[in-house]
Amino acid sequence: MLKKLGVELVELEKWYCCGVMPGLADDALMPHVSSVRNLLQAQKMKDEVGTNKLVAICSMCYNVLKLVSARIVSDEEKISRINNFLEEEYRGEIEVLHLLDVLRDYVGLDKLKESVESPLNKLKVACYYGCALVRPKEVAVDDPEDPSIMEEVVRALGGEPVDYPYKTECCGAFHVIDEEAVAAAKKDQIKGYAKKMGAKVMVTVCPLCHFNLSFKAREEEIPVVYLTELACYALGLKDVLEDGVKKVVEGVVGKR
Amino acid sequence: MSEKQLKTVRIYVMGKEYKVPAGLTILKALEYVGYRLVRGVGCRSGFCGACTTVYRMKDDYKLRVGLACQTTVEDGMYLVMIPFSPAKKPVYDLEKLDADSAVVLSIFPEISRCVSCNTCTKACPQEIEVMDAIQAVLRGDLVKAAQLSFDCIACGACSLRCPAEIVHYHVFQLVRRLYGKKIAKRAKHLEQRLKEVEEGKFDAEMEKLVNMGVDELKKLYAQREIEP
Repeated sequence: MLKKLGVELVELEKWYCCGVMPGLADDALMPHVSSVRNLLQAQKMKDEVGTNKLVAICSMCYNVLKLVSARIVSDEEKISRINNFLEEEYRGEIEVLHLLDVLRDYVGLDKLKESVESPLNKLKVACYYGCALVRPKEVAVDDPEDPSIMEEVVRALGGEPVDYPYKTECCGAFHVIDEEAVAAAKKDQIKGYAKKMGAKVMVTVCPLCHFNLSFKAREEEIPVVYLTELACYALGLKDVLEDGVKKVVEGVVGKR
Repeated sequence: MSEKQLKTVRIYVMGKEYKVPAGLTILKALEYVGYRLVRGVGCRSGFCGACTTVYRMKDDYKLRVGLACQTTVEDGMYLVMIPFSPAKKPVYDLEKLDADSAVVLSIFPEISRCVSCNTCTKACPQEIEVMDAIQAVLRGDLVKAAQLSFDCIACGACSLRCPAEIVHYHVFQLVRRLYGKKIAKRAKHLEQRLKEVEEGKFDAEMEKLVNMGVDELKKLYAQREIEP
């Protein structure tokens, strides 16, 4: 998709788990080591690749990497302690972006709109942000209270975003493992309202949200796809979609 | 031994000082000072992983790891052998497992506790990128994990140092078994040869060897083909 839009992504030579849960205790540095390690890898490739921008597609990876950049790397004492431990030097040279940042700030919504080959024909789409894209506010890709970047992307693709009140609600996150009912209740609340507002499909960019919102979905629930999957369809790249996803997307676009 | 002064180094075994000849391996030095090693010694050739030894050099903060049979003594070495590392060793039926990282995670869920501290890699006497191999499993890349961990001799040093209490060498063994059984291409020539063995193609030759006299056997051994 990005290739079509003129952006080349280069995979890090080595990359690790982002750490998933950033330590919230002020003095717990160990949970941030793996994030710094990823940033270090990007720093090592910076000159060769010619960019200081590290793009994450997963909301959680984005959140953690950016949070660590904001809270740890900017704190001289903390980053020097981690650097001493790693026996390497991360100098804070890498800027963490989410894919949505790239679409908005580097591709541009106008160009995105121009590149559309199969417009979504005013398909009613509910955009779901969840937590990791917008909280805490220092890492938010957009206004943390009322983000609109996903809606703008959907509009550029020819869809019609629906307004509903739960787009930044938590999806239930890891409760899906030990408190399945909690995650199921969140899913019903979020998707139920979106459907009531006329949405035919829900889009997200987070794998965990996607999982929770699709887990044990009933027949009457609206389908959930990644925003990128909808974008691929609109950009004439439907053949890169997995068969199941392609069927879902073609189904909802056809139905409108 | 010549009359000349033997060059010696001082080592400290569990805190007690000994003078031993320079150039000995840790294993030989321990035997030189009188230890009779029953556990914690195996092949003496750097392959079995039994003689894991941790040491520090005087005035250096770094904790180092070496195989006693491969590491030579140095002056000011404080050491102790670790003859055994306790580790959970799950039983599984390879036939029933898919070559999928989810399978490895279900058997060794603790690998998801890896915080990428890299302490395992620093502890590895085989210079394996241990952390990268664990992370490869987490990323779903069993091929990479199998390749990275190929030189593992299961000495257990990584697992004793791991703050996440991962037992890397058992994880890697499973990964390499899955790789070998389910991912790697079948070796056609091996299948062919096994068939030949089963069909008895080499029985007569083997019979001849078994019944051969010792002298004749020695002569044959000396004349064998050796790769250059």
